[in-house]
Amino acid sequence: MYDVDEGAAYAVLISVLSFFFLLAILSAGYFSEVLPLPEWMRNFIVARGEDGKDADITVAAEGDSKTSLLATDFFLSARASTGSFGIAMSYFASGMGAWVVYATAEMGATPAISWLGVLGYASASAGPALLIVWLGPLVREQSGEEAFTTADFSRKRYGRVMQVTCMAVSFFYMYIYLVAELTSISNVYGWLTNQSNFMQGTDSESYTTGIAVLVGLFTIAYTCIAGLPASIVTDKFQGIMVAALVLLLTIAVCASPENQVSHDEFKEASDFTEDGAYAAITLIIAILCAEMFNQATWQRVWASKDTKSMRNGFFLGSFLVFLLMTFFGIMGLISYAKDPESYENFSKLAFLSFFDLLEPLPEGWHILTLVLVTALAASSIDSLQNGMTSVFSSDLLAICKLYGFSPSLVKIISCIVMVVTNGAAIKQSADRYDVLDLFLVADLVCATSVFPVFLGLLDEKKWGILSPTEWGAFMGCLTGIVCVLVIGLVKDYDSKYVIFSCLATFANLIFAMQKLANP
Amino acid sequence: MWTFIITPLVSLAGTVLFTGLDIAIRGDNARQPIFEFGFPLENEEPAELPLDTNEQKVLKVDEVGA
Repeated sequence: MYDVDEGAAYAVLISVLSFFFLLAILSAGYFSEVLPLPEWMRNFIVARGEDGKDADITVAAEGDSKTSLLATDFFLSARASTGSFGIAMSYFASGMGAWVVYATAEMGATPAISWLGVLGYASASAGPALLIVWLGPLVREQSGEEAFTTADFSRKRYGRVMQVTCMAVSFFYMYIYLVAELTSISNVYGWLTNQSNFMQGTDSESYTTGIAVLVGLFTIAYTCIAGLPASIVTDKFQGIMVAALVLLLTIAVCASPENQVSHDEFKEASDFTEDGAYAAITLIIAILCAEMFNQATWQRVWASKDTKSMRNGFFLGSFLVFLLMTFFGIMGLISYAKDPESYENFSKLAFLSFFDLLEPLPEGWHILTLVLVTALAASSIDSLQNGMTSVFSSDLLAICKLYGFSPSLVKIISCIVMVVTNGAAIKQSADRYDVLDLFLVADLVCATSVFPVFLGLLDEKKWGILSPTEWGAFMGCLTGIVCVLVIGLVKDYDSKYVIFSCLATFANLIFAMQKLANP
Repeated sequence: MWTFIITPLVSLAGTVLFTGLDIAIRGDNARQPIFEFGFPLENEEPAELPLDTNEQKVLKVDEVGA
């Protein structure tokens, strides 16, 4: 049983989020003149633009229209501002959300999956950064330095139809990610304050929803005031915090006499199985496809100072992600080794195995875990909020330039989008969906579009029909969707899938014939 | 697992197939965007679209005027 007081948990949550809020405000250049910060700390905290000057987000926005436009652009993109360390920490902190406490631990505590599941999940989570090391410079070069996301790449390479497709898939994935994050942090707070995470319509539901609301409000507040540069600065702190807390927890958990397992017990829990290999392959493909549509990650491509910073940053970030995921996986393995019978008869649940190791530790460690989880969740949520609005940035800025509107309008619209999407996500997080199931749905949607979008990097003169036309790419996405529906039909044999699948195929054919008849 | 292997491969096959069909039928026009509207990105070259008859007429009148 965990005995963290509800009020104490709220105090931890509000304190940690307030700290990030203040950090974000400072990073945007507010109060930087009045605070007696040493130069090295100023360099670390205050976001700096390409020219090395302070972000001046607030000051510049009140200047002439050109300066205001540049400031808004910096607010939305943190363009060419971040070195290798910042990119690494940012990728690490924004990619690792509160879900990591559950996900790899579940793999480790499931003996049928065991080591290969853990290593597969860790590799799958670290892999997208390595893919971006390769693809990032290519996408940035083809999209131009003014772009914000891969939706802009799709617009430039293909046209509006593929831009909207890329926007829709990215937005959907990031929205699901947001719901999963809010669900995870609510569950962890519920769990450590001894609330039920499974009964809806109870007091515990209002408590966990309250947690999600607070996290949403704080992150929206600082993201709206300070934008992406602040998100990257807070990521640096969050990354360092997470690394330090994980190190402390490792020592505490492993040193606890109640958590000691013998060599034989650990050997029994750890195995290399066929199911583990299947899980690893599935996770690697699914996460690679999905993360290619995580615009929070792609924003870091344009935020990096140059190609070298980008490559080094993503390499280091990838390594840190691998270590963290493996750590939680090993915690799952130790949990199972400690008490295999309880996991076999489901009196203990695999996805909560990390908390099983935490239970014997004094209350202080539980509070420290809440700090860790809050840092994990806040870093991911603020990045997702920025990523979700970034898909609209280039068009909104273009409208402002074209019609002479104030660029601040873009910030206001972005904030409105953030508030609406977060409201919906908080409401859905109260439904307490299974986080892994949520991700699998989103991953599958991304799998339908990953090739059509990124084959656009191939040179049409060199690769011929392998370099898609916009029409070909769009039809490729539709073909992927039809494939998913057909697989669902074969597996589930549900009449509504049959009807939907037939309608989709029919619409697809009509559209194709119409286009061919009127080229 | 198979769903995650098959889906991207089918979408890849669909992309190549429909690109081939598109190029076979529309020729060089296939490389143009399906719809051309909206706001140009910074430094973006305007797409070279074939002029319709009315635009060509206007162009001719302008040229004559010049």
